[in-house]
Amino acid sequence: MRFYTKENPRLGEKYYAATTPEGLRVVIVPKAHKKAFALFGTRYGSIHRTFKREGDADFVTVPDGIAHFLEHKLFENEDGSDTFARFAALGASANAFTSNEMTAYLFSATENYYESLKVLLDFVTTPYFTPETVQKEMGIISQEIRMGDDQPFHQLYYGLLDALYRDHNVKVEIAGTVETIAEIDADILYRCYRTFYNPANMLLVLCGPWDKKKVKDVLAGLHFEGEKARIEARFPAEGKRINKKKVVKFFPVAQPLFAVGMKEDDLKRRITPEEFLKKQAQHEVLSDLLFGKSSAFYNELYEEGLIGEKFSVEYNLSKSYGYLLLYGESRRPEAVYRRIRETVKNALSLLNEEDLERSRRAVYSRAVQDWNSTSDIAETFMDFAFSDTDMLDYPDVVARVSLEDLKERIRLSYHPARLALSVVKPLKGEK
Amino acid sequence: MNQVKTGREEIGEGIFANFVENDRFKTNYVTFYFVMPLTAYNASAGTLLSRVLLRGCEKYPTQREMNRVLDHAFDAALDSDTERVGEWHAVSLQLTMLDDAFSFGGEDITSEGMDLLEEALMRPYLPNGAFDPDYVESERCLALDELASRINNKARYARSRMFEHMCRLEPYSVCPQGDRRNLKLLTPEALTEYYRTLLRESRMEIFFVGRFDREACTARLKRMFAHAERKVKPLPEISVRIKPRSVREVTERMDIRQANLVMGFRTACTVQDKASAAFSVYNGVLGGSLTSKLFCHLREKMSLCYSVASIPDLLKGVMLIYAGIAPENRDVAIREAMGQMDEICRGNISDEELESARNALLNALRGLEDNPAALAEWYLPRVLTGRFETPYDVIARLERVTREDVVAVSKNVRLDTVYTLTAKEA
Repeated sequence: MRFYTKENPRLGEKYYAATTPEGLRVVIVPKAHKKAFALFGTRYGSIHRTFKREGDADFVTVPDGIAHFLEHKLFENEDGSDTFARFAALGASANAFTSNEMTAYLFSATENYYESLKVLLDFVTTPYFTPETVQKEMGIISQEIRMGDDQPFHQLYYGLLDALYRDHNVKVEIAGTVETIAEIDADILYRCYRTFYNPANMLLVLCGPWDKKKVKDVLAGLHFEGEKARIEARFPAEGKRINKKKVVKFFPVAQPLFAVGMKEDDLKRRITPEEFLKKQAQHEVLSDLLFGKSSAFYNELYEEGLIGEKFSVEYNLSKSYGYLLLYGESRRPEAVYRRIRETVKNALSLLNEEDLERSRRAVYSRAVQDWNSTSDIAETFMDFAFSDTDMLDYPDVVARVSLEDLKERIRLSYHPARLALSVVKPLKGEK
Repeated sequence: MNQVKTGREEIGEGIFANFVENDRFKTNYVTFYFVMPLTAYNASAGTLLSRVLLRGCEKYPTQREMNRVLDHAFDAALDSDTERVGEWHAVSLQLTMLDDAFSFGGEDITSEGMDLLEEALMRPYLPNGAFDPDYVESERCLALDELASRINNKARYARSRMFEHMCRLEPYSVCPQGDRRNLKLLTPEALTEYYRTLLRESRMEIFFVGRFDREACTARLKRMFAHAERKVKPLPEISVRIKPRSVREVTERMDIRQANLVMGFRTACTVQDKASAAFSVYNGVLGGSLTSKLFCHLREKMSLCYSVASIPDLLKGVMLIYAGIAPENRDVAIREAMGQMDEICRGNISDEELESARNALLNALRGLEDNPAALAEWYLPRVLTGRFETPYDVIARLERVTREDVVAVSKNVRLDTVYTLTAKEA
């Protein structure tokens, strides 16, 4: 296994990458930080409900919440030892997370980090589930789900996804529901594990004061239960139209929360990873220009008292879905929605060189700032890598976004008919 | 460089500049803290002021103009905040800037950013000698909304409600975002007066984390505050009431599905005490980490909860235990949590538990220098209580803590209040 180097001199960053004989891709981002960070992830998130392994006869559909359930269960070991305790004894702090697109296991440490890396690789590649341990986890995850049930922003967000999507799995809650996780058993966990936790589907990102040679030594003892295999995931066909114009829920909140989304229209064309990165950069610059803190939109609505400083805008783009997301609190969510619609409609006429330069600088700066901490770097790196793009290229791609690009992006992706509104309103009698 | 250098300099009466030099970041970070006694009026006025200052200054009278300057300086972020520090109230202005090395054409981002911060702070927009009434009015609405929105995050809301009950006669119960009555009463003139009071009387702690020209920064600060007529009032002592008379139980209900249990304790231990390092280890063993007794017992063994933790405030000498549980499990969760505390009192702490707790603290302290904002947050209570110590000084003290030390501090911890925010009765 040999590492190659890729560099971005302007950014002052580089990484080393290699593939182990088992087929696992390993990336080291060298940084002079105190904290060594390790992230071991698989392309397996809540959107992967229906899939088959290369060689399987049929597709299988599994209960919602299973990727997240697996994340919890991998921390258990056959000898009864506690994984958190193994890390803690070495002075490392460990954790894990599941998103729409991935499951990832991590630790940060300021010493003994090669020993901790061994523990990380070992517990993720050694599944152990029994009916009893699966049952025990139900109680814990049920409380995690209840916590989400009581979080108004969680409700707001899933309300919006339900408005935007008819069938796409992105609208499925990552942890599932108390009902769907009740269907999970040890057998189905093993099946999902063997499919998605195979080296070709995984990535190890190390960031911090790591040494290539020592990493190589640790990796020499690697063994995978799941054999290297291609996976085919199937997603329900999702049309361009939105599912519902508006979703309203009632919760104990002080004043209405709103989220406005615009469903990506430009997903059918097959694009290269380079084009994907450009598209992401265009979306980020464009949404900052139209809705960011210096935009006419933001400042007018702020002065009219329609929004506060917590108003946020972001663009979430993946291969199979994408949406513009604007959210905050407002006494008049419908009025905010109408103004967003107006801005989307008039987007072309709002473009100019001066604002472009300003927004380009802002988005570029954020892309550079992603290189500040070892955990941010590793997590962002994995995000990019799982959409087959490279974080190291991104600041330069942003710096090259032109006015023509934005015009084209508006034509392809901005349609007022694709806008939807989600609102969480106070319960009656609650101020 | 990769060697963290720290320094502290007195700029004027009660004004201190703190430097943490570090070249591993893409950004440089400055924060100004203005610290006053925590009262409902100060918290309200400080909150409103922290918002109005970002609306405009003499040179850039609108928010949009200010934001444009910031965007031009490569998305420099100028933010303000208010927080409770023990029984003191801190208003802060923070500036995060991209390092000059990453500008497109050699722009001096640091100077652009610092200039704007100086304008916003020293020459605010005061038409007719007071803050703009429109700005004050709209920020008042937003501040009131924000206060009301505290109920949105149930866990956080439950924690602050617990302290409001437990410390109801102490300044600690004051909400750092102010209260409705004072927020409603503040006039533009009163707010302008509070602004002047802050510049005159507050303790100022300024942190520079990253790559800064120390002499230039010091010179700038001296020039900024050269004409401030300083009359600093020493911060009041924090009241540390040691023994609760009896346990108070409070239950509040909402239309929710999970119960938020918060237990409040008096610890009889503050940063001023030698035993504070032992207390940190005690908290780690009890509920400060994923190997703690509460996590292993209440969550992993009994499946009672997903979130469970103990959180101390070493300035005030208090601690809380939080757990998100099914409503019917309240009593068993309380009993089990108290049971785990008893285990510690009886000395039932394994070597692994002790060392894991210690290791987690050491790991966090060593890693602190990777996080500029966390560094400033870490130093603030220390410099305010007169100790300019580094994370490495604290590490040295933690390394000496023994099991007996932990057991000793555990014996002084007393339950004061049990607060539950739970589902409405069926």
